[in-house]
Amino acid sequence: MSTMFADTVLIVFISVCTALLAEGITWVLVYRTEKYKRLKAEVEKQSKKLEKKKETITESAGRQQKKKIERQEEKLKNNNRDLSMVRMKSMFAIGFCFTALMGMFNSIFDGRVVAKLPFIPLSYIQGLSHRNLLGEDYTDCSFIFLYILCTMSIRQISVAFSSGGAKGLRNPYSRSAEEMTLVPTSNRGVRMGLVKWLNRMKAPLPQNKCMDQTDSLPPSTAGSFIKSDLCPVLCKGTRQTN
Amino acid sequence: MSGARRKEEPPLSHPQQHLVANGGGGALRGSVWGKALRSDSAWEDKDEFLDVIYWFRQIIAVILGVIWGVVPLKGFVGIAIFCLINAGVLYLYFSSFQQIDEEEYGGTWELTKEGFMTSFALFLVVWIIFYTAIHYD
Repeated sequence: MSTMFADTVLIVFISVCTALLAEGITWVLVYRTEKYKRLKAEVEKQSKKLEKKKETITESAGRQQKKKIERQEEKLKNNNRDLSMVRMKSMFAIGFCFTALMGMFNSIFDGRVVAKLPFIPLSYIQGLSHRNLLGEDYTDCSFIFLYILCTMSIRQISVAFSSGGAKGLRNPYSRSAEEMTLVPTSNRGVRMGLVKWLNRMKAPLPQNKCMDQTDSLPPSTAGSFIKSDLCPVLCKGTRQTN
Repeated sequence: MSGARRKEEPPLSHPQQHLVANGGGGALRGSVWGKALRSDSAWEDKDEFLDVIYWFRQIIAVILGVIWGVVPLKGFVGIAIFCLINAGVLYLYFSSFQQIDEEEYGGTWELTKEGFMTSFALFLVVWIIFYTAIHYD
């Protein structure tokens, strides 16, 4: 086995290990706690109840019924927010661990071509795919690009496994599971997730609350996680050739 | 209308569902995949069907990544063909094979997007690994 392919396999292995480590940390700090289990069960129960109510509601439904539904939505939103807050702990722990790990791996694989790309990436991606590599052959792949791709796929899949199916990635109350990956999400991403979920529940968004929903959502930690995870690498700049 | 197109399946009684969900995780998954491979199945739980779409996407990504890496198929043509096949096969699956009502799931676009980015990343990883292993080892 050549050195390059060995590096490729090693990076995939590192990605799998870090994904499992992230899930492990989250399980220890979040999933096994009574508070999380209780909140999750509550949110599932409430969302099913709300969905059933919305399916039976008619155009001519009384104002009282609509107000009741709005109150239930508010309650559900608050529980979702509490659930996200519970996951914050694991976010910080994971961010901290991975910053350290990324720094270490980056120095190990610095300047090494770890794979050959079967395509030439777009120019704005070349900064990542050809980071710190010598020469002008843009099919050379750097550690960080392959690591990001592996993390995007493997960590998402491991989250889907651990949260009982891909719905763990889909619902806004487990949006932070997706945030643990390197899929860049922001408040907009969380907002769109909530909007999509509410649309799915066929709930018309109250006009005056359209933007308020984002204010009540906890700030996405994805941005800070990505920054902390990649900052040692991204801030380094590309290597200059002679 | 959409209900009339589907086969009626006897719903599990609540204790059976609970038993299967808790102690028979394997059996539950088996029944989901059984439904997924049968034409025109009934999908009471929408999340279940979306899960099936998600995992089918990942399987297609792995298969195409291996084929593209072995052939090899290079360049953006490979990426474009992957996107077409991924979207096309799943579209045929949910519209023709399962004959579901797309509106119940938020429209065709929602179903097309389901798990797409993850499958794309997985496809790239597999493609790169096989290409590197076979053509540069």
